[in-house]
Amino acid sequence: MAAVKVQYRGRLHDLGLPEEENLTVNTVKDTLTHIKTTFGAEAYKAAKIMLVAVNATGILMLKAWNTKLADGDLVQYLPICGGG
Amino acid sequence: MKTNYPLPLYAIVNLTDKTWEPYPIPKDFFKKFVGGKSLGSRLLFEFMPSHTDVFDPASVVVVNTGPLTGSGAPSTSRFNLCAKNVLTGGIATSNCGGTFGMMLRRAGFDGVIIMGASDAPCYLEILDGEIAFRDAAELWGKDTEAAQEHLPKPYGKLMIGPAGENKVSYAGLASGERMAGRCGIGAIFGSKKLKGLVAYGTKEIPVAQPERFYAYNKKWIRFLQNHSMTGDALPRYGSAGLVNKANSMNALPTKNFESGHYDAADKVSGETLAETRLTRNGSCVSCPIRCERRVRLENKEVKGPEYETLGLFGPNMGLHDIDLVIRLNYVCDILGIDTISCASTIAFAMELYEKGLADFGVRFGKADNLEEVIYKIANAEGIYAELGKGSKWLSRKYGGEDFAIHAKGMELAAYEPRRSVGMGLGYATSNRGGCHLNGGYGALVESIGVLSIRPTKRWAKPDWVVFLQNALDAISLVGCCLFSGQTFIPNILFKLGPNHIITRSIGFIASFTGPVIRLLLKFPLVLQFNTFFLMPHAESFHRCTGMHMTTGDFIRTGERCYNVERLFNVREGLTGKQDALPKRLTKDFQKYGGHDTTVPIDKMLPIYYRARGWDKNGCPTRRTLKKLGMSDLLYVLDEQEEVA
Ligand code: SF4
Repeated sequence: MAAVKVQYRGRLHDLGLPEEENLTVNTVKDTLTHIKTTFGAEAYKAAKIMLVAVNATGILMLKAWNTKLADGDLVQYLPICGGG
Repeated sequence: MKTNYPLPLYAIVNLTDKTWEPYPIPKDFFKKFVGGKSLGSRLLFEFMPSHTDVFDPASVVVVNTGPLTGSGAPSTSRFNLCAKNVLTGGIATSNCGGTFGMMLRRAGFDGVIIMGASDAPCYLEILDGEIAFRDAAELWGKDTEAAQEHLPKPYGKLMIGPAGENKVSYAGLASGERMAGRCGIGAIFGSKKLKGLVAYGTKEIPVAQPERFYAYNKKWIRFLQNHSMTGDALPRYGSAGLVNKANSMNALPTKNFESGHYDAADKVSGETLAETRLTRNGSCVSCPIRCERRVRLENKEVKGPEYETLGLFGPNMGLHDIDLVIRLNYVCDILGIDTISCASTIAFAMELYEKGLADFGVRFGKADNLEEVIYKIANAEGIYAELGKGSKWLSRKYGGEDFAIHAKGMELAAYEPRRSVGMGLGYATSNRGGCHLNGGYGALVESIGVLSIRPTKRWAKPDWVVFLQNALDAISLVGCCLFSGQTFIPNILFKLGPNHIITRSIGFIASFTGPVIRLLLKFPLVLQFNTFFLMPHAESFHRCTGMHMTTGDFIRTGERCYNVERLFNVREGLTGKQDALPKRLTKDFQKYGGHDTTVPIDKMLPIYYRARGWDKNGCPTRRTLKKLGMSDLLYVLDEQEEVA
C-alpha cells in the first residue's frame, strides 16, 4: 500500500469533492473505487471519463488504471480540454 | 453559380498618394478562393511584385473577410490579414476575432488592399462606403489600448502598438483585445507609417437565403452547445485547459523545448486560472462558445492568457507564476507583440546564455526583468532590438541553430512535437512557418485531446496532416473561428473518456487509416453531403451565399488555399529545404522524462509531398495546379524553371 495525495479538479470540483485528500492505496484503480464508495455514482461516472495523471504523467503513458502507486505520488483527476 | 449573392467589393488603397478606388473581386477569384487567407494570398500575386522587400513601399497587405464574417453564423467575427512574412520571407496570414471585420463589411467593403507608404503617420477611416486618410500624429507612439480608446467607441478598430512602429519582426495588430499576432504584419504597417484602420457602417451583410440560413445557424448553435468540446471544455477552461493535458503527455514545451514535462505546470494551468483568477467568460462577436477568459489585473479586468502564452511564458522559461503570465500577456497585447514568437525568442536567448553564446540578461527561472525586456524589445532599445528580430536571426548571429525553435523562421507554438510527431510534420510544412493551426493542429488528435492517434508513431500522419491542414484552411477562409471545427471529434468519445477501451482502440485503429484518408484527399468530392458532424461550415456557407458547397467541395477549397499559399512561398524563393525543424526536435531525445522519440521528418516528408501532389522540393506540380483550377498561376513554375 502507498500513501498518496489525490486531487479532484473540473467536474469533480463542481460536484463538491474536496480539492485533495490523502489516501492509502495500491493502484490508480483503487482511487476510482474510493470515489465510487465515498462520493457516489455520479462522481464515479465523472471521474471515469477524466484525464488521470500520476505525478503529472497521464496514465495512458503508464499502465492505465492498473498503474501501481508509490509513497508520495500525486494522482490528479483533470478535465479534458481543447482549443489551440 | 446561380445566386443573387453579390461579388465581394474590396478597396485598393495607395498610401503614397493617398488615393483609393473600389475593386470588385473577379467572379472566378471569388468562386475559387472565396475570401480570407485564400483570396488574400491570391491577390498578393496580382498586386505585389515577386521578391519585394517586406518593408518596401511596394509591399502589399490585404485585410479581408470571408462571406460568413459578421453574418450571424456562430463564431464568425473572424477577419484576416495577408502579406509577405517578416520572419520567413514567405506567406503571412494572420486571423483575428475583433470587431473590425464585421464593421468593415457593414461599411461596405469585404477587404482592403493596402499598398504604398505614407510619409507621415496616418490611419484609414472607412465609413459607409468612403475611405479617408487621417493624420495619426496623435496616435503614433500610443499603445494599442490607448490608441483604440482615442477613437470613437462604436468603430471597429485594428491598430498597431509601439512594436509595429519600431518594426519588431513579430509585431502584430490589435482589434479590441483580440490580436492578429503572428507573422510580423504589424511591422509592415509600421514601415508604411500606417497606425491602423477603423471602420463603421450600417449596411446589411448579404445573405442569399436568409430564412434557411438562420434556421441552420440555430441548429448549429445548439449542436455546438451540446458538444462536450465547444459546449463545456472550451467555455469552462478556454485553450488554457490544455496545459495539464499537454504536460501529462510530455507535450508541454519546457526550457526552450528541452523536454515536454514540467513538474509545477499545474500552477499555470487552465484549471488554476478558472478556479482562482477567472472573473467571467468573454467572447468574440456572435460566438456561442465563449472561450475567452476574463481575469483581473490590478484594478482592471483584462483578457486572460491562452494556452500558448501560459506554456511559453511559463514552463518553457522554467517559470510557473500565473500572475506574471497574465501581466506579460497584457503587456504584449498593448505593445502589439505576438506572445508566441516573443516568449520563444526570449527562451532561446536564455539558452544562449546558458551555453555561453550571448547574454541578453534573461535567465531560465528568472522572472523579475521580463516585463522590462519586453518593453525594450517593443521600443527596439539597444541590444533588445536584436531580440525583436526573432530566434532564427539570433541563431545566425550568435549560434545555437540546433536549438532555435522555429520553422522557416517563425517560432513554434506550445506543442512539443516529439510527443506529437504529426504536429511536428505540420509545423515543418506549415506555409507560414512554425504555426500549429496552419500546421493542421495534429496535436489535438495525437496527444492533447480526448483521442490519441499514437503520438510518437508516424503511420498515417502525413495523410492526416494534409487533411487537417486543408480542413482548417477551409474553415478560416470563410470567416469562421477554427475552434468551431473541433466538433469533428465525436462527442461520444468525450462521454467515454480518454481511458476507455473504445477511445483507445479508435486512436489505435486511426493510426492505420492512411490509405483511407489518402483516398479522401484524392477524391474529396465523394463527400457530396453536408453534416453537422464533419463541417457544418460548408452548409452554412451554401445557405449564406447560395453557392453550391458540399463537405467535399469545402475540403477542396481548403486544399486550393494551401496550394496558393505554398505557391507564394515558391515565388519568393522558399523551397522544400525550409520544410524543416531544428535538430533538437529531429535528432535529440527529450532531456528528461525518459522518452526516446524524435520527429522522423525525413521519413514523413516524402509521403506528405506525394499526398499533396507536390514535387520533392515541396512545390505544387503542374498537374496539381491544373486539378485545382489554378492554371493561371502556372507562370510561377515557369519562372522557377527559368531561374533554375
Ligand atoms: S471560440 Fe473563442 S476565439 Fe473562437 S470566436 Fe469564439 S470566443 Fe472567439
